[in-house]
Amino acid sequence: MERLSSSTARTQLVLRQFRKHRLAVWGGRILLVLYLMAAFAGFFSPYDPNYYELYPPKGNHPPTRIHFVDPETGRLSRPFVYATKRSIDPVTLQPRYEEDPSQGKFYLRFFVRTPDQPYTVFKVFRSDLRLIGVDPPGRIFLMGTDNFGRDLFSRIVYGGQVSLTIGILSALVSFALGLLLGGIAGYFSGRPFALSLPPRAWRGWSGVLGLVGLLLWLAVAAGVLFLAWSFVRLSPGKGVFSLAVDGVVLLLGFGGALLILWKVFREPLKLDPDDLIMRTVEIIAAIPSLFLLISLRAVFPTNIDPLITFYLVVGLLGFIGWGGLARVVRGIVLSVREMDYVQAARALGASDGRIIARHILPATASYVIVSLSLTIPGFILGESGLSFLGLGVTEPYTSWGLLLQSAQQGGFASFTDRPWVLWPGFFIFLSVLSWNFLGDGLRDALDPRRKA
Amino acid sequence: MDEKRLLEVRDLKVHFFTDDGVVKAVDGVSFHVDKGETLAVVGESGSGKSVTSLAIMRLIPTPPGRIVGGQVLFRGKDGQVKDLTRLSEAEMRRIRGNDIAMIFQEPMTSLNPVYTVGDQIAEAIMLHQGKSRKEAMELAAHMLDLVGIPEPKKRLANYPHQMSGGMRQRVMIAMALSCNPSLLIADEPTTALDVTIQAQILELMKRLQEELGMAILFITHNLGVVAEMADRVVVMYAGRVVEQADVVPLFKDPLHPYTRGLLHSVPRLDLAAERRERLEAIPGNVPNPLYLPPGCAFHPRCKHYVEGLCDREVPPLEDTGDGRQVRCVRWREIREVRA
Amino acid sequence: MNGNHVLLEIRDLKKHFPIRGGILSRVVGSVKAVDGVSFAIKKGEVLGLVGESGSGKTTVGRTLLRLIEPTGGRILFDGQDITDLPKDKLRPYRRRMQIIFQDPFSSLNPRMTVGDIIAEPLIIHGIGKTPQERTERVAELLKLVGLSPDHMRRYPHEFSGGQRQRIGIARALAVAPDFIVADEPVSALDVSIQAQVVNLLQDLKEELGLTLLFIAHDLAVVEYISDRVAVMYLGKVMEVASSKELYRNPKHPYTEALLSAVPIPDPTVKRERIVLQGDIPSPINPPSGCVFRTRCRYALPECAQVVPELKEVAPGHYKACIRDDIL
Repeated sequence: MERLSSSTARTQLVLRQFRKHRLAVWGGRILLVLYLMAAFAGFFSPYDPNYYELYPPKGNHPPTRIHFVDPETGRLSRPFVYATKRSIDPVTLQPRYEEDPSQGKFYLRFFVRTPDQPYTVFKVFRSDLRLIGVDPPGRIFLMGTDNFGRDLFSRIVYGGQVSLTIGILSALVSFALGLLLGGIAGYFSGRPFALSLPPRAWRGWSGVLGLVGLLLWLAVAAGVLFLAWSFVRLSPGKGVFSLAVDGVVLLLGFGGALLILWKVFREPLKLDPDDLIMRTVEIIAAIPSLFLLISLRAVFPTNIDPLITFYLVVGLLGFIGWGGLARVVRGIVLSVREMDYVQAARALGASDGRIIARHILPATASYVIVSLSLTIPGFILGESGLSFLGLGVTEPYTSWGLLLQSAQQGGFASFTDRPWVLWPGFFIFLSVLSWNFLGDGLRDALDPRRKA
Repeated sequence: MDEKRLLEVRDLKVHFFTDDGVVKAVDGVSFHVDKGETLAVVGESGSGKSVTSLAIMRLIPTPPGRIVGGQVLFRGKDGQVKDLTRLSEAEMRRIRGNDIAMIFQEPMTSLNPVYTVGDQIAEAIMLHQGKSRKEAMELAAHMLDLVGIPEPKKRLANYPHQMSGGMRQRVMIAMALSCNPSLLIADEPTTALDVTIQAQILELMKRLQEELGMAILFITHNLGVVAEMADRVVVMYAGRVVEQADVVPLFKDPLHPYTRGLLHSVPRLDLAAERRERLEAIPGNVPNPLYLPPGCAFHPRCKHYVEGLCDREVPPLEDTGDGRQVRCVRWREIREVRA
Repeated sequence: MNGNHVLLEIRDLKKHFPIRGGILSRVVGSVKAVDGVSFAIKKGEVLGLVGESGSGKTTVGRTLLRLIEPTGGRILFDGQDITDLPKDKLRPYRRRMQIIFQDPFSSLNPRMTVGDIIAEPLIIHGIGKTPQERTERVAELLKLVGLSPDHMRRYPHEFSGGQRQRIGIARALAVAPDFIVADEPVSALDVSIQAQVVNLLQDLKEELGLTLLFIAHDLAVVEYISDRVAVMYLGKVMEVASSKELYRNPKHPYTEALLSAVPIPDPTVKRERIVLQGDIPSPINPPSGCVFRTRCRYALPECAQVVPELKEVAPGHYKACIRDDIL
């Protein structure tokens, strides 16, 4: 087919396609708001996430009602809230809060300063400016409080810092791994590297390497022998059966060691990096990911520094997630490697590095971008899951998963009595959905078949 | 419609509505096919030849494409003339495969890889002729035998991937002819095949036409194949018919500069010994269907182009008086100069 | 220039692709894509290589450029055996041997501008020190292949098939090679564009003194552009002769059938056609003896016994067939 010779630049074309996908545009806008809120959490949250009053206690306070009509005059007024009075329900023994107009109205104010609760932006800029607030002793809980009386909305905004960045960071970790390993598997597929070199092929530097390699293999053979010997030495060695087992093990040890030596002396042991990496991917994929996550997490102690826990979670999520990407990247690289333009570059004498950087990696770009945006929501959910199980980030950090976990303390009644504790779930839902829409839109916009 | 006419396409217009604008893929095409004859439609990519054949079958992908005007008159097996562009989808399904059959360029992708060859041929037979599965299978074996596939009974149980490209195209032909259609549309049926296999398929189609008497609408870009197969030829360029004639006069005395250029740009094996000069290439590129040149779409590449004459209005498709048609304002001069 | 100077020669070139199977991916067989091909190309000559799909003609082209490593045989370029040269020693030869591809859509990186594509060989080989020098050279090359230097900043998808093929030719010419493998350079193009590209190649050949290996399945085009033609079938060369001689006087039964299968664009020409029966056998399991015997109308029982040698039957005319009594 004849191509259309419009001079519309590629990026413009992609943008135009993307704008047509209305859900994706909305997803992008919502994510922009969520990430801005997380980045400037101090500004957007009315209170410090860990601030609570001992007296009067405000535990499990429902969302504060904002009044727009002055009950005295019956006319519209500047929005205001009332202070609340706490009492204990005699039947359920749960706290109840009632509005107390006697303390007067507390008008909603914008750009307030809270000198008693300063915060920092990006750990550098100190500030105490907050978007909204009311004068103390009035309080405004947009989404209620937790059982300590901490403002849930502020905690959600701060929790977003963890939940939203963990998604991106884990995705970046898994993509770094996936791209690297998938790229190696694809590009070097069918070009096995030698794990050993027999003496007759030793020439110059390859001889030195060969000698080192041979020594290593000798060590491996010795190790196998040692293992077998250890087994025999440690076995109780009573009875015919036990002796027979010892004999078989010793024989296997000798056989194995001899086999290794025979192999490495006779022919080079070759390993295709493609086989090595792809079999590893398959093994990881065969283990249920939540189980793998939990067991990997169990390897590390639970009472470590919360910040380290954060990076640990990033690393773990990244580690279980790279396989799928590596597989696809390998596929793309394998097909691009055979494209005529790569052959042309080879015919021109271009080096492997140049071919990879100029011709192969760019070809994976659109897939990687789309895949990235579709993987992030999975990691956001993964973090929530881990935190929900108590294996993720810990106090004083907070995350949406952790908030949900504390929400379910108190059993089912907590949801019926205090439905506002489910707000973190809504944020998880919103962000995951938005990422998915964004990813869909990007996929449609970047799909090369659309422009063919 | 004349009694011997099988198909008459009148002023057919198929437009594709894309993001970049309206592509007039077929823009006022008229031609006819008589019973039992072979009409070749020749053109390059973007000429609209394949879209025309798909429009006759009402297989234009909608959206973005749509038949926006014209008629496709077809005489059914019952003798009634119908306008295919006005039939309901259900009526059209009865025509497809039964009255008009089609074979495509890619024998690899036009067969379903998960069914046996026998199943696929029998399905068409059962659908249109209401035969039992057993009868249909017998007929399918007969059809495979007819298209020259050895051991047809055994081959029925084969899957498409177990056959070569040439074999698959034979199966496609068997399937297309199984309901005894009066018109076979062949869209570049040999383009994906090697020359020796192409020769086999062309021989087969000629033989089958003699035996079964169907008309063939042969879509191709290969002038050699046209010379071999066609009774009459329609040459298309940029969505329009530029010339229509019987095969011998067309090759001997092409009237349209495009037809002439096309004939002279291909190297000929049979004249190899005498000639060794440069090929007469047509300069320029096949035009972008979104931005067709004004007037005669061929004028930027034409050596007979006259400013102010060729680039104003689309020239009409004129009858030359001897059963030929040509769309060029200067055809009389061109003919005289050559004579 | 010495008219008899051989620029490229291959001797008994073989390329067998292993077929792996089973869980241990052991080699269970091989596709004998090229199975003992020998020919020589003189400086300034155009050798046509024709064959149907599966004949191994494309593999020959890629193997002699060492884009695919040969299984056996020797490749000699300008007298030097380059079969086993390591990568770094091969690089100077990469400057002298180039390739043009069939598919003008997959042979250009869609993410690079035309200028970058043509400048890449200059960068790789350090031709033109500054970006300006390179830009000038790219502009020259674009003009040489009949495009405008303004096209430099555009992307390949903005061009038609014929123009893209010209870009591919400009890239190959950037390093000023002596020898070019043209691998089906016109078969993906429209009929009216094919002639343009064939003419361009012919002009360039004359202007720059290029030596060409022209690979195609279209006999008419090959006959037109080539000085000599080699016909391949199932990994082997069946016949070699000057192109006029080959058409007028084919000696091998396969060439005879191939020529008669090509449809002639003239409805008044009526000729006897030899329609070959059956399909090309699988190169995994080629027939014993002469690989063409299963479809040959002259085949004798002996044809299954001996693999026919390529032998000279007339001056400069070689065929691989044991029957000297035919044709």
